[in-house]
Amino acid sequence: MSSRLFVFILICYATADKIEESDSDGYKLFTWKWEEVDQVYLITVWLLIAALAKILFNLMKPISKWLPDSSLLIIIGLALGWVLHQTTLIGTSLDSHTFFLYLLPPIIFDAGYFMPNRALFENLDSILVFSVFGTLWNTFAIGGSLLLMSHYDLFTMSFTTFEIFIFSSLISAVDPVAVIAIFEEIHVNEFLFINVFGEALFNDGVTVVLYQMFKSFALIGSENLSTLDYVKGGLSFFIVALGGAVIGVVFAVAVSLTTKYTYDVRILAPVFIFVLPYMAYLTAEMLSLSSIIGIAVCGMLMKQYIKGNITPAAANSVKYFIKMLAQSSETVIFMFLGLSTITSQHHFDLNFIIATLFFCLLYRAIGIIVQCFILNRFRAKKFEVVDQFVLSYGGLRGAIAYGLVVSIPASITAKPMFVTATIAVIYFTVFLQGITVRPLVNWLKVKKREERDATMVESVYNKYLDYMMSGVEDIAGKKGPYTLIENFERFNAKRIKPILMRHQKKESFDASKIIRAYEKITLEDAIRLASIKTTIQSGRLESTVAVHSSSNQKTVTPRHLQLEKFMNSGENIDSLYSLFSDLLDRKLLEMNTKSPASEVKGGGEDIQDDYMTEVKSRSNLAAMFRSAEQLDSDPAYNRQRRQSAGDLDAKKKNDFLRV
Amino acid sequence: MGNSSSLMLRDEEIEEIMNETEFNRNQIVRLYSRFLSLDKKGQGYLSRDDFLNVPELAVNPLGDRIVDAFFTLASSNGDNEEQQLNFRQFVRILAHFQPISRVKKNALNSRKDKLLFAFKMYDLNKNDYITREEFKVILNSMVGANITSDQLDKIADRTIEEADADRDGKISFEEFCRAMEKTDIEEKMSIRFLN
Repeated sequence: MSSRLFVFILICYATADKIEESDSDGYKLFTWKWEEVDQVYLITVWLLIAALAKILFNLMKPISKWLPDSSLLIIIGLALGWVLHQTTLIGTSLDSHTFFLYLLPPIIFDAGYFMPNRALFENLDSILVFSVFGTLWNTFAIGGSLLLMSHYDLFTMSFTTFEIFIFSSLISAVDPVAVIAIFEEIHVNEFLFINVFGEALFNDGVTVVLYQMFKSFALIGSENLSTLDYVKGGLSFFIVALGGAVIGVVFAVAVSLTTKYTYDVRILAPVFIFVLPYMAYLTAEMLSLSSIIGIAVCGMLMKQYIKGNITPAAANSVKYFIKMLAQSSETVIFMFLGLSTITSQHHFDLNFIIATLFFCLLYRAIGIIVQCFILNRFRAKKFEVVDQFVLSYGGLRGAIAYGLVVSIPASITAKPMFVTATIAVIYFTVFLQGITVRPLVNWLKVKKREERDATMVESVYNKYLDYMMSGVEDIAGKKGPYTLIENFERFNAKRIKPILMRHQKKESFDASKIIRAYEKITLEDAIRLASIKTTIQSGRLESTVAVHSSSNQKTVTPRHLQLEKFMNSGENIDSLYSLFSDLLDRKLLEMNTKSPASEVKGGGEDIQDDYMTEVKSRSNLAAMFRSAEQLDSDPAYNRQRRQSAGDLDAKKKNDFLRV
Repeated sequence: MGNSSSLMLRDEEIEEIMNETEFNRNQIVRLYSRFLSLDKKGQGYLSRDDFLNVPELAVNPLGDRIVDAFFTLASSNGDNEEQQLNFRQFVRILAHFQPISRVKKNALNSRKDKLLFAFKMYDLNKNDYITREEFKVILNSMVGANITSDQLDKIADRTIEEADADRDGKISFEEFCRAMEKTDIEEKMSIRFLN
């Protein structure tokens, strides 16, 4: 049988070939269309390999415990690159165009969207100091030292002042991709994370300006420059950084406004949510402004407004999709980094590499210590020694530096030496610092991130403390952060939200967070109860008790505690079961009667399982959300009402009218 | 402690305050000039009206609760509700909001004292318990306009249930402290008084 199959396939091939060659008018059964898909095919194959690699790491538990994912990916890239190089197949290297236009934006957008805004603003002073002054200090210190060393002819290639400053500006930038990759695995507390990460994100403004500035200076040549050019260079900081932020704000407003009106075409909302921030990035690139700051600011701002404009299900999907894009990009970047190591033009100069590494580490440490010393005089929350250590150690370099170094014009002779040194520094930070950071963090007993759900108590009290502290600040005659926050929130609730969000009345205070917290916690409780119920039904009582009594006690309602005591005392299961049913019904009733916008049929999902239910639910929902007065006169709704069980719908309608 | 209407701040007083709290001389002088600017009638003490004249406080939903807490904490024996606040009492209460320093072990800005201030704001009738009704009033003043009374009840119920460990329907100070265990009170309730 198989031999017949084999012969058959062979014949197909042969005929196909023959048909192609003969170039006749015969019908082509089978053609080989590689050229049409080669680019895209290669890209998808890379993506697939990268994703499979990641799965593999998680399976190889012993290795993935001490080696961070990013280093493993680089190794795989290296291996692949070597294989391709040996077989002299074409392997694409990471060209800066692909990197900056396609791979970087999703990661930065993810960073901006999931940024804890509150923590960011509380630490804005330190973040700005680190990103601006820290980067400037690093650039000039590293560049200066390397320049000094080159006067003693310690390096094999020579460079001008401006050329070395180009190099030092790109090598001194902390890389957000690398920081996310490493810090996400070690779960340091939010305070440290936001400082390192905020710095990494915002120093792009400084790095880009310095890089462009020195690049054009180098090309123009130092003889042709006047003081005016230097001044213009200095001014461009503000323009680039602020311009990027302004673009981010503009596009955030655009997204919020468009999602406000997409209620009837809800499937389109995610299109705006993804396309507009990307446009922000491209627009900023086009105008030579900081595209990274642009897309990050856009993500940060738009989150609260679109949350009110799209359904929770859609918000969830958006969340997952953003994460997916960012993860894939990150994976591909690291893999390509390994790959490009083989394919780039190298010039290995040991002195230069060691010098660069040494200065990077040294000047970062000095910079952090000095800056923290100054900052601590003005801050309530001080940087401890441990914090300072993690901050300096967390100065990881990554793919952005590589992207910048390969786009140095080839006219600069020292470029291969720079490329090699950049790759060396990146490898050092990703491998050595990446591997050692986890044991170090544990050894220094750095406070870890709190991994638990916020309780209702905390949501309420946090709000309450905000108001209280703002009041005390007023009494003490001090304009502090709390006053600013409260003023902004009031302005936000009163003016901005009604414009950018649907169904928002003009309020003086914003309670939506508290209400959302309450709804979320109640929902989680109900789900937990439901899952307990089903596991009792299947008879696996013991394990459930163990699981649920060890999970956090704080969010549990007192009846639930009663329940556990019940279970532990081994009472009979039937009474347990009825108690559960009551609880569950009570919870579900609470949920259903609470919000006026509760969906009827179709379970409130945006996208139904098939087209039949889609049509049914759409007619229901459209009717539901017209104004209450029109409800009775709508034929579709009335038809449904007459057909349905009646009681529950009537109750819902009454609730809807009442609220 | 009634009305020590000393309009001029004497050096001994500054010394005493410096010993009691962690303020330094400059901060105390600065706070004194703030005190004087609040005391518009020049009486040497502050009454409730003086506080409520602060415009930002008037818009603050918890404004009068804050003022209340100031006066409650000022009274030394707890029964006698103060109507007037002199400078010593003013500074002593503001000392609660100093950042906690590891060097000086000062009684006034410890975590417990900060929490006590927050607790006193909730406790309207000063019986050292927060009842469900008291909590609802506070919640209402914070978010009342935005939600239905039904939702308000449920949120209040839920919050009380979470914190009420001994299930007596009200929250004592210990239960309050325990509920706020995981919150970084030291940082949230600190004001940086400039030098």
